[in-house]
Amino acid sequence: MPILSFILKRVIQAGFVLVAVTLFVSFAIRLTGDPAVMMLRESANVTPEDLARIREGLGLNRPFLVQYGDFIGGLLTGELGNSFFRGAIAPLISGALGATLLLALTSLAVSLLISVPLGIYAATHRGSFGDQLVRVLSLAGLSFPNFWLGIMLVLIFSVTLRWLPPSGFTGPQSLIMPAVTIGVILTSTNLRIVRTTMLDVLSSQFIMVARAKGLSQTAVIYKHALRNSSIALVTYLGLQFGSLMGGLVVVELVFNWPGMGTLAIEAIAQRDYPILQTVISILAVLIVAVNLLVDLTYMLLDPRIRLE
Amino acid sequence: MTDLKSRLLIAALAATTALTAAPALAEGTLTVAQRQDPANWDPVDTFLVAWGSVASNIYDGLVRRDENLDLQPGLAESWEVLDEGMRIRFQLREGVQFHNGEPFDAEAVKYTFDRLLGEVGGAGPQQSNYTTIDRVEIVDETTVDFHMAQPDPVILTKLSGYGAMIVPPQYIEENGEEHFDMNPVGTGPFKFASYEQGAQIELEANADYFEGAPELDGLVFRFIREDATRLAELQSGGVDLVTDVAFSAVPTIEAADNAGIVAVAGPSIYSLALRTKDAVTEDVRVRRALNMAVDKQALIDAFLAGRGSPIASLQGELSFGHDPELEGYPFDPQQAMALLEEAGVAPGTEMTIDYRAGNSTFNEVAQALTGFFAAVGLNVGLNPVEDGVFLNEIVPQGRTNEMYQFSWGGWTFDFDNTAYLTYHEGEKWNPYGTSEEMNALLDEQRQSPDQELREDILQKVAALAHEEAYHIPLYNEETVYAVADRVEGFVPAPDKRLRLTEVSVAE
Amino acid sequence: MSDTTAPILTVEDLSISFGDTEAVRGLSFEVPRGGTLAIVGESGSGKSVTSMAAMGLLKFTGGRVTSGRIQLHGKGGETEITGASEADLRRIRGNRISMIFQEPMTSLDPVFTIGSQIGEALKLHRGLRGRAARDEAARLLELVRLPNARAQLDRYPHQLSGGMRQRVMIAMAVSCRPDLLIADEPTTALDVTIQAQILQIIRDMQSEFGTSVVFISHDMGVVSEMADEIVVMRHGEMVEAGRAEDVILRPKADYTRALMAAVPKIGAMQGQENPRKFDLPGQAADQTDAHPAPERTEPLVRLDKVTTRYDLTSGFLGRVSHRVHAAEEVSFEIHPGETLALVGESGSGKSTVGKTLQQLVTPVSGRILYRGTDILSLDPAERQRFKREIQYIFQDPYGSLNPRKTVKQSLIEPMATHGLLKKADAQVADLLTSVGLKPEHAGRYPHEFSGGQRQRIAIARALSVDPGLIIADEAVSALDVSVQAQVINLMMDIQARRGLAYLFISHDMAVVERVSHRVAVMYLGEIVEMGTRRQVFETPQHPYTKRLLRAVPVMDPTRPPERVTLTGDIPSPVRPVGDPRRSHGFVEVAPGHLLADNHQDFEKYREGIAS
Repeated sequence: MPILSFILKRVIQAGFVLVAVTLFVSFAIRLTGDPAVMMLRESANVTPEDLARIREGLGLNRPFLVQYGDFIGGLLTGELGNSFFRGAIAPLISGALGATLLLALTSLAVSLLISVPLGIYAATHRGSFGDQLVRVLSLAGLSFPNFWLGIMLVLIFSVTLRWLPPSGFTGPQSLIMPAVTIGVILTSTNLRIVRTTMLDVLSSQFIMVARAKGLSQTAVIYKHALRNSSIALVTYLGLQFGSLMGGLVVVELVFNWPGMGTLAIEAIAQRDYPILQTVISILAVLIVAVNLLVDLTYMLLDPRIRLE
Repeated sequence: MTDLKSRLLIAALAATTALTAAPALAEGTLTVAQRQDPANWDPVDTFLVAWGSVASNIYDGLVRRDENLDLQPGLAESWEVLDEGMRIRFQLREGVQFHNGEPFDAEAVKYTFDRLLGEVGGAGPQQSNYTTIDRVEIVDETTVDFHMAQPDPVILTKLSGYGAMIVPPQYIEENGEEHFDMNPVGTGPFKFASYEQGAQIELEANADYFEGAPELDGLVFRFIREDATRLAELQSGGVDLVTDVAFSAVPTIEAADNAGIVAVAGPSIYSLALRTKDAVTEDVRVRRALNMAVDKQALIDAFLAGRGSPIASLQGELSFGHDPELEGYPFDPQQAMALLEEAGVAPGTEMTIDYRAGNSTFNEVAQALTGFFAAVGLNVGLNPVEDGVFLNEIVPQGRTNEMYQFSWGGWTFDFDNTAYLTYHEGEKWNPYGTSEEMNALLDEQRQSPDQELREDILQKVAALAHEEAYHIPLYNEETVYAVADRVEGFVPAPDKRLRLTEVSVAE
Repeated sequence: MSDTTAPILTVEDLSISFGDTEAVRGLSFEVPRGGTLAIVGESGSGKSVTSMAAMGLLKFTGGRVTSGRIQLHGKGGETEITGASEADLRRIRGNRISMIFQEPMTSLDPVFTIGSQIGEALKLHRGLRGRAARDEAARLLELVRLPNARAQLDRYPHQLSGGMRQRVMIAMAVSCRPDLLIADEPTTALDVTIQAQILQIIRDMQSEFGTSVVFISHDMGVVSEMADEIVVMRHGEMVEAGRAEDVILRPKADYTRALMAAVPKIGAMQGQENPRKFDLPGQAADQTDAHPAPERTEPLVRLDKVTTRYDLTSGFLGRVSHRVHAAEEVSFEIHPGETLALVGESGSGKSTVGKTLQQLVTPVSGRILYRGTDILSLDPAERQRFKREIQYIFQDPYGSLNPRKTVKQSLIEPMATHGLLKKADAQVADLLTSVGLKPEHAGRYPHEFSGGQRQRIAIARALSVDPGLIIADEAVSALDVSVQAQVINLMMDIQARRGLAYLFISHDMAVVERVSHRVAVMYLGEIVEMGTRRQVFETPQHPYTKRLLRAVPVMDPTRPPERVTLTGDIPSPVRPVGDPRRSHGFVEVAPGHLLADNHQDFEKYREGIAS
């Protein structure tokens, strides 16, 4: 089965990516500071013995490769172990990952719900006032830094209007502003992608052939053109995923969203190596998995790839 | 009267919108926003002020320190310092129960300190603060003796916080350390209700508290990392009290219509230490000149929104050992230049300030300092250093430039803490040495259980340090809280520990 | 076969504009019921635009009808297309009028199966669904002689060859038995043998359903086979119209006459020894055998058993599982001043031979000798010189010229690379003059030129380094006939002047007959027959050569088109690793006339691979 061998190949690739990323992160974070020093920094009368004792307690006196080996071993056996300062890692991660995915998927869904219809409208009404408006708006959306947008939303909807809670996760209404903040950026780029690929596809001869068959505009757009454009859109979404995760970190911080970004920032501040390593590894796995998913979707959408 | 009417109207409108807003605050519950989630609730595990602000409401120590930093009876009703400070006898309060119903007694005190000084405490950062205690002896059910390894004049203060909080022996033995860490039980005015990592901890009133039930029904601490987000929560009514307010945000809150600033002199002082060996600052005249070049009040007004006071020694006015008579060097650039000339320091001489890169306020202060020094003809550069490197390699190893940041925030408010660390031979914040006289003074006060004598000596230490100009003491930061108008009876604690027994919320 | 009493479509005084540009002006014609009207013209003549207007599709191309009427007199009654509502038009499109487009490779939606795409029209206009639609679709595919019709329904367009896709398009177009079928250059992109099949199928459909046809083409040979009536268009206006025979044999308008003169006619060179230029109006008609014969001394280039293969990988480890046998043991010689034509259809490997010779690809075995030197055995630095000696002209001059460089920059670059630059301005002026352009064109950019002019610039660039051989790979295929004739004349002038040799790679037998001294016919990577032009064209020996020649449309309206076999595609040159084809030898049937020694097995062998 070519699909199976394809997946196998990607899984092996993912393994290499994971080793490279975690090795780098584990190594780099150890260069930036010592958790024992961070820990004792507000205590008076710290002796070198205190430091050594804490370092030993955290297992930091062992050679780097041993520590790294333990970490990878734990990762492979699903035994995530304990953080330096915050207890078992597994429940931390599962909570944060859930929150981050909830936010990411909601934003993505919102952005697709907006960008696909608008992009199609703009492409089918090229040059019209509506098209111009869509293009201006998407450009404007792109030029907002997301932290700024987040703070503006808070000032308007929380501080002034008091409609929405400014931070944390207390219910569905907490999701609105973070999702909109990320969604605006995603929508702006997706809108452009939908519009250009739609324009591209609409100028294809097979679209003219479909019209020549007597198909209605709706059938031409939503059956033929959209299916073909979605191939490019899916590819783009896959590429976008990495930067989406980067954007999430900032937005999570602004909205105090209990996700992977907040967890990672906290871990960096405390130099909690095990948490940070695990967060990064999981993000790496996630990115690889999403790209695999994109490739598989791509196969589903495009028979030219599926059958080769 | 129309004015009052329109205000009522606005209030009514605000109330209705507040109802539609999601986080309508529960009656009798106060919500606090602070930057950090300490993530552990076991007293031996923590090293964070963020822990103190929450856990001071859950636990009690034998001794309690009030908002004026005076020591008050806590779980001990009284105490006696015996044997020249080598033994302290505590008379324990009777009839007190832990939140789980377990009785508090001498056994619990012994268990607490055996645990702190033993293996469990050894894995955490708190043990090192209490190593002057040799052992705890149970005299009877309500009496314990602390046998000291050496006299420790600050030990009573230390018993009022952090590692010395009394923990429930049975509960820990039955449920294990990890469970205790996530589900803390103490004797304090509030009981632990729930904890959501990274998000919030909820406490409820302990109706059986030995000093009477607190005014509030419940207490919620939310952990919000971003300064701006904490303020937004306050302004939108999501929280009542914000700790760790950035100085830059002070004017915003002062202008807000539903909240205000409450501040108190805090534990943190900022200064520049001066290199007394192998540098141009070896000459005391140069060190004095540098002191005279700086307008401390200008720094406070510009960067702390006025929320600070200039200091003459490395302590604030609440510190034990503070001498109100000691005056700092005046801001006098003319005299500074004269002193520099006298010391043979040519105009344009280059110097460098090493400072910790993480603190944005101090970054700005450091920039401004170079301006002051330039005004007296010195060409001072800046060298920001990453914390770990600064604390491990630059300072203790004596590898600093002419000036380097020294800031300290010991919660004990006892000058010994700071002075010993910076002036005594062999300490890591004293890489260049001071004098025999200084060492002798510091040792002497450490040995003495007599607090009056100690205070006298510590004031001498401060005067001597001033004379020698080892540092340029800059300012003592205020601890700034942003408080919603509906909060009543909030008295700020200088040490950032919040104990909210007297506070209530208007509805 | 035509009944011209009542027209099926009447176009009256039709004018079409795109923005401010008028594309068609005052066009009127009638399409005879059951007959075929051909609209002939070169690019920009407005013939395709007219067909879009007849479908009511003009608005999707950005054009609009500014005046005139298009009336369909169909079974369902009269319809005025230009004024009809979109809803009415949708009922007509694909149903009463349907269309076949030029480019079969892009006419089908890549993500839907053949069956579902045919099914769309059946559902829309005939209400067929599910099984019934599937059965009907299979029947239609059988009708267009697609082998294994039912199995093809579940395949995707990319799995079908161009010829097969065009059959699917035809099946789709006739699925609702339209009154009128518009075929817009339906065979232009196809190989000549496939073209013959498609034309045959269109004729068959026409007689089966009694459909009237509008046939749009630039190819007079094809038109002559298909048309009952012809409309000649130029620059959006009708130049001439009339019965096919009259227009072809007795053209009245000057433009039509010029057009006819530029059309290469197969068989027109019978008895001629050497190539001959086209007699174009306004050019001195130099006559009979004036073109010089090559020097038969030492060959300029000799290919000795050159084999080029491309690896295809598959599977987990990217193992090479198949190879494209693009060129197999190809041997030939080209003498100075000689034109050797390499003919064949898609996949025959003719372009690979060109690229191998130009050192764009490296052969797996064989020798390339240039004036006796084995190029492949030289070190890279020395090879550089031979890159100068052999120049290439591509099919698409726009793609091969850098759009951001002026003509002068494009011409100077190769001269500078090979150290031939002396007086840039004078050299550029000379080059431009030699290809019939003006020295002042040097400062312009490629987009400022027409297709023919761009191809002249490409030729000038090839000439700039003074090569011995120019490889012209389909160099005139994309050009309109009149321009094509001019460019061919230019190339022949240059050959006569400079003694240049050409390797002329083309699928167009009529053009090849015009320009070549000798011809090599390629099939599946091998040369199957080679000889002088007269030998190959007048006494073809190999069955494949014969098929090729027979498939070329003849511009003779008096002769009914020959019936061709309707099945059979060009087989693939891809073979599994470890299964090389048995190579063949040659027999010399006449002096210099080589024929593959396995030619008797050809038909059998062809079927065997094709299945």
